Amino acid sequence: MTNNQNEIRREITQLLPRLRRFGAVLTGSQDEGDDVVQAAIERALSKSELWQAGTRLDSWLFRIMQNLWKDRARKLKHDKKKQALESVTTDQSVDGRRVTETMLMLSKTREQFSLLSEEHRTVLALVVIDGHSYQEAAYQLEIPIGTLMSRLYRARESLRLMIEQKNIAQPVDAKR
Amino acid sequence: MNEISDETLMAFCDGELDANAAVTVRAALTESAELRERLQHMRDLDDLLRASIPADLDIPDRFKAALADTRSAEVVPFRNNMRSWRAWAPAGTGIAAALLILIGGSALSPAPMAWLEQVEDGLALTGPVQAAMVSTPSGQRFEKDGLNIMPVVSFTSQDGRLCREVQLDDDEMGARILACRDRDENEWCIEAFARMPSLPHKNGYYTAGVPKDPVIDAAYARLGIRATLTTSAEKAAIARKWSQE
Repeated sequence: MTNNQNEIRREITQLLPRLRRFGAVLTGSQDEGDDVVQAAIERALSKSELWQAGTRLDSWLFRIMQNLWKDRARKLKHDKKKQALESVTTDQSVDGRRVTETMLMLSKTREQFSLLSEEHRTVLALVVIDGHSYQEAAYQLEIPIGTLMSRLYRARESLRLMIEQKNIAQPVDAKR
Repeated sequence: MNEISDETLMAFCDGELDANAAVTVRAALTESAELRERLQHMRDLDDLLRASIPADLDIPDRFKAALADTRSAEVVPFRNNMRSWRAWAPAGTGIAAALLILIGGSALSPAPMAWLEQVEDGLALTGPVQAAMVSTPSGQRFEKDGLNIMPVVSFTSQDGRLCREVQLDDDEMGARILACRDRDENEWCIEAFARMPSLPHKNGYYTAGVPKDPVIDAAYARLGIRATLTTSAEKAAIARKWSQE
């Protein structure tokens, strides 16, 4: 096993929660996302010589995952049926002081998010959820920064409108 | 006043404007309540989205084989992916200012703060946050200097130090801190610091403990939990000012 592979394994161990979350968002389901993550890990390890220690492994992996997903979706002729992202998360409260309204609000947000287009989910996942810079996200999506900004703005607007409409239909005690 | 477009405001929100453009937006924000409200809505939506899609920290078996033969994860506690909040972080003593110090790459020379100080090995809590760490039982609030501080849990790490996780809120944002007591120096040294959704008294929805943050949990994994303090054990620790038994 090369030093690079060891370094990559160590970094991936730290990155795994983020990779799995991104995979779930990208594909629309945790199981499918995990398949993509696993394939990306295998590819990264098999091509470890392409990665330079000290550079951002997460950007490289996110990009690999997206390419893998594109191939996979094409091959499987992935139906565009939206799946709720309920499997993305598990119950992680540690202090038992959750309030039902909060969980309801989060659940509704997750549901609305899952109804966005894959393009919008992906850009929100990269920038808002995972905190990548515009430049990093544009690199990972292989699009110009201007396109990324437009897409990000539309994605946020779509989500906001969907949540607002949902809240109008079913008011909850929370801000938009 | 120049009209600030939604796209520009979004870039400001994400910390993506250059310095000159950010100054223009900040100036506009001071003048326009409507603009501040638009920014707040963006922040609320982002917070809500982040809270609704937490990362699952368990490592399923299927990944364990692929990641075998690795050492324990070495986590950098002050991760840089919180950069998206820096744009509206004002100078001052609140959480936003702390984020600037902790995440903005200037941890070696932090600005003077009312609750954060540089020590030999990193950063330690001081002022009201330290006071809360010393005297406030988990689940109870301690308010001072605009900060709402609530310890969440106390535990002993694998190396024998007493540690506490604490939720911190001010008028702008919330944060989670994991700090352990340095036995020799009587300091609470920060092991991890993460931006978190605020508690319900501010935002109208309750998010304490949800979501857990990967940084905080990675710090837990790194420190290891030898034992979680029971209510009575914590009370005893408070009584002896957290000196070792």
